[in-house]
Amino acid sequence: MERVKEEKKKFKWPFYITKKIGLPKWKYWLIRVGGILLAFLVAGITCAILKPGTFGLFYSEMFRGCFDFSDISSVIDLFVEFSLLLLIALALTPAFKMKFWNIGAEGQILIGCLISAWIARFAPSEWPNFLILLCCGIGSVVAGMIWSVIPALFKAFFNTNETLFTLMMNYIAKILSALAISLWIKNGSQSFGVLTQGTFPEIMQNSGTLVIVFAIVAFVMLYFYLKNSIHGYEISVVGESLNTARYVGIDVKKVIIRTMIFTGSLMGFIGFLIVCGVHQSFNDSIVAGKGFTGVLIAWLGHFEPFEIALFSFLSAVFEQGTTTAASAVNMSSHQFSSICTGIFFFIIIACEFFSSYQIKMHKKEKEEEVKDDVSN
Amino acid sequence: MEKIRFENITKTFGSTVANNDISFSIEAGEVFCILGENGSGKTTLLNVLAGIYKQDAGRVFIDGKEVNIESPKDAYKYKIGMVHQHFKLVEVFTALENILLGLKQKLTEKDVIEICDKYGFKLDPKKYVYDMSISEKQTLEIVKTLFRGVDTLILDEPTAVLTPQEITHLFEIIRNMKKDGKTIIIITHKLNEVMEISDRIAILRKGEYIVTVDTALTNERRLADLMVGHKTDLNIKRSEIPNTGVRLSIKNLSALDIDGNKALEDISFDVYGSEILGVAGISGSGQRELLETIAGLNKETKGSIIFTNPKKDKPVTFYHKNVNQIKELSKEGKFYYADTKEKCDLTNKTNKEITDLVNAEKILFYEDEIIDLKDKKPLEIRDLGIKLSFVPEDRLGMGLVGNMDLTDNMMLRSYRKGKQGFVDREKPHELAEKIVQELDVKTPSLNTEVRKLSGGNIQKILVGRELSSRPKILMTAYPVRGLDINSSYLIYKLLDEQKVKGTAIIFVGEDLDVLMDLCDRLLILSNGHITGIVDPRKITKDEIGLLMTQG
Repeated sequence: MERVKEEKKKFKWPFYITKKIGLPKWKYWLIRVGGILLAFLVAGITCAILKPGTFGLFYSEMFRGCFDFSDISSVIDLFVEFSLLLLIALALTPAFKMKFWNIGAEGQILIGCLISAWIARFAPSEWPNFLILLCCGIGSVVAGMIWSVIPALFKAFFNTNETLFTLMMNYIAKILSALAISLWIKNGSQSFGVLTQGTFPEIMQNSGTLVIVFAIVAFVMLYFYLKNSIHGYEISVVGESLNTARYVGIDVKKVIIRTMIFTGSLMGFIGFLIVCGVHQSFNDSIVAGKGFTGVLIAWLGHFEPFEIALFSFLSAVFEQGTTTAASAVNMSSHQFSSICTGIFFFIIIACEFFSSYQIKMHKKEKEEEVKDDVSN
Repeated sequence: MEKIRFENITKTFGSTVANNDISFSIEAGEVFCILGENGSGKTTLLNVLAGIYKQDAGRVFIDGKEVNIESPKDAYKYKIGMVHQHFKLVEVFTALENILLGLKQKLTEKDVIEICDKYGFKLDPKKYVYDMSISEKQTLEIVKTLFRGVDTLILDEPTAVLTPQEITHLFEIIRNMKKDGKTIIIITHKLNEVMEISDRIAILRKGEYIVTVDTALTNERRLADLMVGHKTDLNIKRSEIPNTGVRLSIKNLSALDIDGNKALEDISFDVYGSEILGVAGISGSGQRELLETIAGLNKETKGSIIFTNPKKDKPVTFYHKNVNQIKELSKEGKFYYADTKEKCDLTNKTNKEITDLVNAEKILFYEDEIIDLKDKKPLEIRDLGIKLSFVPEDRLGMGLVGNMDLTDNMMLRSYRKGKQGFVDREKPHELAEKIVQELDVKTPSLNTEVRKLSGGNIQKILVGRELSSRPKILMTAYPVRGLDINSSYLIYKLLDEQKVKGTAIIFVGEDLDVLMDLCDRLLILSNGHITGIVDPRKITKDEIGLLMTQG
């Protein structure tokens, strides 16, 4: 009898969560589009709460910040940001499809940045610019590759946890970068300054324009690599089932290492683009969390190139738009933009949850609770 | 007296209706069988009674009173206990410790022995679970429920993993428990056992309740028809044809399992073309390792696996060898010209000349090809031109990729044939179309992910793909596990047809009746040893059962 009493006292939530099965695709996308619109709305409301009366201004400024075609350079800035996020998320995708959870994009890019900055700063000034750029590119690719192949080797031969390993490699890259700057800059300002050589040419008033070209090329190549290449097929099999891979004779170790060499090389190359193209400068937080944002985007895009492109674009719009809007209403632009990006991802992830689960109310329990209340 | 009554029980999982409006009752003190094919909802229904699932609609009555069973703990309150197909025991505890888990009262070994003597269990309370055989673990599960005061015992497919002798013993225990007034519910799909042990039988089909019959008033034929829903032919065809010589000769083979324990010890046997060699044994006796070792998936092996390819005086083909291999082998003097009977050396010929000669079938083998497969990886075996097919027991986890569609799954075996690093989806697509048509695979389209299909259709895809390469050797492990009756008999038919085509087949099975009806010879494995290679036409089930537990 005692036990029965105990069970009655136990608190029960009035609802429970069950899995949603067989949600049609259009409904899923309806939820997602709704989520994106909601994110815009919530960001606007947040702005209006922080600075009353700016609700309308927020949207017009956001739009102006992104799509003001009279200032072509700022539009290109948006597309450069979009391209970088796209490149990072795409570079991560093959490894993720293989279920190799590489969260070390930040470090792999940063080490590429470091090598590019080093070569560009110290290359003999009589070298032609394209030669310096070539050296920067190759050096960065090799550096990024080394940074990603180390965890891959450990995973393949000792089955270490790749998530922790790649995460720690981020910090090593960051510390090395800080160290390099303190060695290079002796005047105590800790400022690297602007590169005078080894920089991309300006096209349409923006030195990052070439990044967009690279992103388009990479997008097309990766699309076919994943969908139609033998490597892409092997990656899918390894990701789905190691036993199946063994059964058809795929060398899993080789696939892991090969894929991470690929990912790392591309990461290093992105580092080169950031230093020589976008910023033409260097510091230890130059990647600015894009490596982690890329992980999020790859996930939200379900490792599908087109979906990844969509979320990269939205993410870039949110970041640049809210930065412009913040400065228009006299707020710290960096912090406000971070808040808004947070809102965006939070809502999109919530959409993922609500499209695979649903919340149902307990029917019987409700009645019981009512009875309990009456008896009390 | 009525013990349990189901009224309009409905249980759905997403869009799948596992139980639809099921109503029937079970009398106190009877042995009651729930009979149905895989996927007919037997286990789901009894899980509702055992408190694992909660029904979506409908009511359960025990002793005439409506009850609300929320958890297995609740079920014990109503004196209902269930022994699941997969045992839920703590491996590092002794039998007694397992029984004591979650019990408030104190027990000693003596109490356990007392109960065991009463019903005829063979159980040592001091033995650790990891040292126990499957039958001992099952016994422990039953004893566990008895100490929780259970008077209604549910057994889910209790005989699936037992030897014939162990089954006989289990049935004795069930009869003893019945004498003691306990109600026993058995979930099963085995007709002969139903006939042997039960008083009454409820038949489920595709989630629907069909009928309850008295065992004394029915027979296996009628039960099968009720179970499947239409007339079924339960005869397995074994074509009696002469074998075509040794295909695979295994000598002193030893192998380890995944954990590094000895799985096979010093076994030797031959497999012939046009023969089905059945492999029987308690599960985990080394069957899996045997097949995986031959397929080249097992690294740590000793002994030899000699494959004989009957190629003497037959033309060399490009299906079998590529140009470079042909050049190499011709240097070793393996071929002769069809016209002149002269030994041929092709090292000085161009690729084009060789291609023409091969296509005109002008180059023949001197002798049968003999190759040791030991330590060869699956890819190397394939590159040698050896057509060895393997239908593993884990279909979605090994033979296929659940999240890929039919075409991509066909490609698993052939994706390397693509050009310039890109895969060719055309041929796999054609193959998928052909298999869907020939084996009557029920699928919405070729782009459907295979995990969404039913077990029978999944198996048809896997078997179809493995047969499509016209294998010289076909290995298959538990190919009908989880399949409905029609699909099972289709698989038996396909295997027999393949045998007639000359393939050497190794068939690892669990249903002794099927093994005895289908196979030409039967190899019995016990603990990694061969305890007998017998002619199934001349041996009884009991004799095989004894061999399964020897050694």
